[in-house]
Amino acid sequence: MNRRDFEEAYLVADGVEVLWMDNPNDAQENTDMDEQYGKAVASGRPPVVRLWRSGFADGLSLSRRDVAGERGMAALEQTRNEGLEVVIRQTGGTAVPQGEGVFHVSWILPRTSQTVTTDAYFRLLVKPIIAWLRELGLEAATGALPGSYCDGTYNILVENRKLVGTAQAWRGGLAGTGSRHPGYILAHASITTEVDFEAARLWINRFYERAGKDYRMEADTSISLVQTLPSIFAGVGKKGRNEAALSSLKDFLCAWLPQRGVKVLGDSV
Amino acid sequence: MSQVMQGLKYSKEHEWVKLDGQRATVGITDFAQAELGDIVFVELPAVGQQLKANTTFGTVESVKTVSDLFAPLSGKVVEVNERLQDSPELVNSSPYEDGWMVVLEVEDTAGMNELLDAQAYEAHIAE
Repeated sequence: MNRRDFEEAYLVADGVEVLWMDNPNDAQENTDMDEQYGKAVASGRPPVVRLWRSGFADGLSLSRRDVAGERGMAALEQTRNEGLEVVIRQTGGTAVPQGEGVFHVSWILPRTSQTVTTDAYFRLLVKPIIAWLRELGLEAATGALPGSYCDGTYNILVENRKLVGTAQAWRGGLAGTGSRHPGYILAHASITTEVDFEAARLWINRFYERAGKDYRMEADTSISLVQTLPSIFAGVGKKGRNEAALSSLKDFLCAWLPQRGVKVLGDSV
Repeated sequence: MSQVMQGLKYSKEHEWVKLDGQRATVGITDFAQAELGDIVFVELPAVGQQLKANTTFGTVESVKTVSDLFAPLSGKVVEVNERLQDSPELVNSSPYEDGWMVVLEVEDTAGMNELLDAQAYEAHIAE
């Protein structure tokens, strides 16, 4: 057992179900599954770590803030008219590239009456991913990276470039467990196995130009698993590479979490 | 210490209500804004929308976190604070004044009786 490097295990004291559940052929439904699981968790279902592939079509995930207002909605429509798949997500932040080279990890947990900060949930989310990357031989750490897509303190950086983006949604009333609507917490990570970041940069910046917003993604702020670990994907096609990475992380979680005192209640695909 | 304004009514969901005739102005409390931290986006309903008490009427996004807002009363939205679209930080700096969110036209004000007065709300957040 090694619990000292995962103090956040107390947030899932009764265990979690680790599952791979997605529908990449319907990108929005795929994204919205987090909300469906969230509602179930809020109603008493055990907490879930959901692993899922992005929709297969190239595109963007945008927050509701991104598409707010007339210009935001117009930018959304123009982006879709150009053939990009755009999903609207429930977490905050800014645009994130999507496509068959991206997968996600969603921790979906009930609200707690304990005083817990978003930092604690971010650590819960990122520590196992960093441990997995280290097992693959990568030095990874959290940190902000101005100019990266959906920048935040809990980016996971490799070679000083962004490999993983993170965000949260706390659904339910502001009163938390004291609310009539206690809701759930979604802590989400988006992991890039293989993305054309130059194309993504153009899509993202064009969207924000049209929306009249200042946010811009800068070149050379991102990195993918294929770029940094090409050897482990040798001979595997793009879709296969993403699935291989997702499977690898899922297997890792199912082994790593119990070693830190977190019971894995099931690990269905 | 969070500021609680006398003369307002409060929900346990940390929303405040100021009733003027049939018009109820709604916002979130100083306690709530402090818990959320820096607010970067407020999503509010359209004017004309009918709200039902205890159902969600919008969201408030602090740095990379999104939370739901619940209507403390039933009523029709007759005004929305448009300033929050460009200046959501007003909810942090002035939760009871410039950071108001919506004005509802309330047909039945009996729902006000279920809300807390300032003293009861102070006790609630002290729990």
